[in-house]
Amino acid sequence: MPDDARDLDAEVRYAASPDVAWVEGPDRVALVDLRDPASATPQLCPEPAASLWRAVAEGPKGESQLVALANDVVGEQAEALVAAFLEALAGAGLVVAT
Amino acid sequence: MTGSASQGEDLTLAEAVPLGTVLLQRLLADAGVRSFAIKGPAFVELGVRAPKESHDVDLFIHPADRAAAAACLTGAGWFVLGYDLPPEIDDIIYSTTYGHDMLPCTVDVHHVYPGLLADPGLVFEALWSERTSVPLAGAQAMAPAAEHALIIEALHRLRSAEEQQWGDAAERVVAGLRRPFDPLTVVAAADEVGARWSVAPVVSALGGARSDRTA
Repeated sequence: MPDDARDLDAEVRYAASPDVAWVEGPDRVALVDLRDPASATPQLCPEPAASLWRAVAEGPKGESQLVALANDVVGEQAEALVAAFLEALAGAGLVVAT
Repeated sequence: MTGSASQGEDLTLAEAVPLGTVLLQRLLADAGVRSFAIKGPAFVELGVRAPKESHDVDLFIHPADRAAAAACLTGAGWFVLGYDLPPEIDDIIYSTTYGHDMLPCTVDVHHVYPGLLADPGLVFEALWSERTSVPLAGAQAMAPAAEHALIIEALHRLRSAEEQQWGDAAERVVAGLRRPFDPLTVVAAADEVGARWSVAPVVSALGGARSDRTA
């Protein structure tokens, strides 16, 4: 197995929480956390972070995969974008480590 | 990274209706209130209406759950919209409309559906016994079976037409279907909820025999 494949296997993967409902919007995704529906408030996630949301909603992704994806969107800001994305959405429980 | 849409106007209807449907179903389910998503994007998923923008969320609950649903929703910040009607005419009320500052759409919570003429509690149980779920907003929404959904969709469309226009309205309902329906299966489903006469024009438009008013 190539080293980079082993690295990918060992990497934490992130996925959209199954408790989040979300829809596509104009240059964004709109989502709502269903864990506490009595106090839930819809959230708007604009581009370019929305492209990362779509990726984790499609299936679990490693941080390196997200950086590669972000690189196509924001170039050299990719690592910062992914870090901010994971800090905000994983911190809020909207994205979960699998 | 994300921004709150707490004032509702930030969300479009295309965002708010599916999100609101799933959110409200979860809220009600957590309170022990069973609900169906009716009309709107759930019925698009079931193939009984063509895709179009919905302006509100429609849910259907057991009539015995009205008070529990009201307590649940108002406890979560939803407020009742509409007229303060006297209790003497409660029998003719079939739904309650709610609003919330966080959504730009209203929510109609139906406890009776006009044209489903069987006992309202039995109607709900008949629908519930054959319920299905549909993908909505990345989640699953509880919905009636497709035949029951077609009946509700038909009643919705026929209700706004004069009797002499029911044939044309029924043809439009059938033209909007995204999957085939066996008219005999639809009649059987209509019998379960006391709607054989109510949806007869749609059964006829599907190629089935038209029932008479005594059926």
